[in-house]
Amino acid sequence: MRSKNRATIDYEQCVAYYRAGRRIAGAAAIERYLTANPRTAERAERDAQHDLALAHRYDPVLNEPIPPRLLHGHDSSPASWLAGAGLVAMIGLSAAGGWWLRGLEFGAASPTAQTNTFGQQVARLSDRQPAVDAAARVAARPTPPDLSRAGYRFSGRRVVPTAGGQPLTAYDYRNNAGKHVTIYARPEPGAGRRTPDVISPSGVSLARWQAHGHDYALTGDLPPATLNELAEIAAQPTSQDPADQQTPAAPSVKMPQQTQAPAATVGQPVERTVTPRQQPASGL
Amino acid sequence: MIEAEIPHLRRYARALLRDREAADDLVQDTLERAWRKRHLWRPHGRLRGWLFRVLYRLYLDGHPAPTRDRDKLIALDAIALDPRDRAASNGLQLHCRDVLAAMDRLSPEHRAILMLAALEQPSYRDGARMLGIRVGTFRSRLSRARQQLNELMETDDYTSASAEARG
Repeated sequence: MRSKNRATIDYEQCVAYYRAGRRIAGAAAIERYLTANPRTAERAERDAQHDLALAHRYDPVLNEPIPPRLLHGHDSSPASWLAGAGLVAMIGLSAAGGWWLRGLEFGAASPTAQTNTFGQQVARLSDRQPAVDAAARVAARPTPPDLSRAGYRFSGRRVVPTAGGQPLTAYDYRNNAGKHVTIYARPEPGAGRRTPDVISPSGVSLARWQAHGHDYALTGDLPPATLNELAEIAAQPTSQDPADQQTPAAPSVKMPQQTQAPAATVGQPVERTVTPRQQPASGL
Repeated sequence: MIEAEIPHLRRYARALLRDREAADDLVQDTLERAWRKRHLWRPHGRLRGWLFRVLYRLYLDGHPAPTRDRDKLIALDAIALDPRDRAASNGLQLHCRDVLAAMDRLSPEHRAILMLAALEQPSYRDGARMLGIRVGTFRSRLSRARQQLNELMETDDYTSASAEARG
C-alpha cells in the first residue's frame, strides 16, 4: 500500500481491473501494484465479484422498453412540444418526451395532459394512503369545495406530503350512507377554469378540474361516472366568486377503460371518451 | 438526451427498491423534480450526474414510503430466490442473493453508493457528483461500505457454517 504506484492507482481501478477480466487500460501497472499488495488484490477481486453479481442482475433493465409514462405525459405530438423549443434550448433539456414540456404548454392542454404530475401524485396517494401530517399547514389554501348539494358533508382538511413534491391539501367528505370521498388540491398559479375530466393514472380513477388558481382531484371508492358528477358539483362557481359565473362549455367526460391494464403498463392513463349522458348516474 | 438517461435511472432505482412499479415511481418523481429544479442544472454539467443526484435525494427522502410494501418486496425477492430454485440458478445469481441480503443490513447511504459503483462504475469525481457529495466523502464512504458489506457476508458465512455444523 505504500509503494510508489499508490499515487497513481486507486482502489476502484483495482476493482475495475478484476471486473474487466484483467483487460483494461493500464493493466500492467495495476497488476504490478496488486502483486506488491496481495491483501489489496484479494479484497479488490472479491469486491469485483460483488459488483459483477449486482450488474448481472440489474443490467437487463437497461434493455427494457421505457414505460410511456416516463416519456409522454399526454397525447401531444412532438411538434407541439417543440413549440416550447426556445425554453428547452435555454435550459438544455432536449425534447426527449412530451412529458418534460407539459409545464410549458399547459395553457393549451387539457387537464388530462397533466396526469403524470398532479394526477399521478393523487393516484399514488389514493392507492397507498400515505402518512398524513395533520398539523402541517400550507401558506395558501383554497376554500373547501362545496359538495353539500350531493349530500356530502365536509369533514376535515389535511396536508398530505408527497415524495419530493409540494404538499397537497386534502379535503374529506362523508355522506349519510358513510361513503367517503377526498378532494386533493394544490396551487397552480395562472391556471384557468377547466371542467372536470375523469382519468385513471395507475388504475385509480379520479376527476380533475381547475378553478381559483388551483388544481383539484376528487377520488373515492365510487364509479367514475359518480366521481365526475361529484366533481361537476364541486367545480360549480360559488356566489363569492362572480368571475366564475361565466360557465364554460359543456364538459367532456372521459372514462377509464374497465379492463385491467397489463402489468407492464400499469400507471398509464388509459381512457376513452364518451358523451356525459351515456353513463348512468350511479347514485351519489 | 433525457431518454438516453432513463434506462440508467430505472436500473439504479430498480436495484435500490427491487420493485418495478416503485422504481418507476421514483424515476418519475426524479424527472418531475428535475423539471421543477431545472434552473439549478448547469448546461455544461453532465445530465446523468445531475439526474442521479436528484434520484438519490428522493431515495433518501423516503422512497418508497410504506413499510408494509417494503416488507412485501423483500418477501417477493426471497421467493424468487427460493433454495428450491437453486438448481436452476447459476453461481452469479446465488452470489447476488447473498450480496443483496447483506446489503439489506447496510444504511441507505451505503446501499446507494455500492449500487452506484456496481452499476455505473463512476470515477470518484463522477460518483461524487452523482450523489452530491465531496470526492473525499465519496471515496471514504465507498470504502467503508465495501468493508461493511464484506464483514456482513463473512459473518453470514460463519453463521451458516456454524448452523450446518450444529445440524
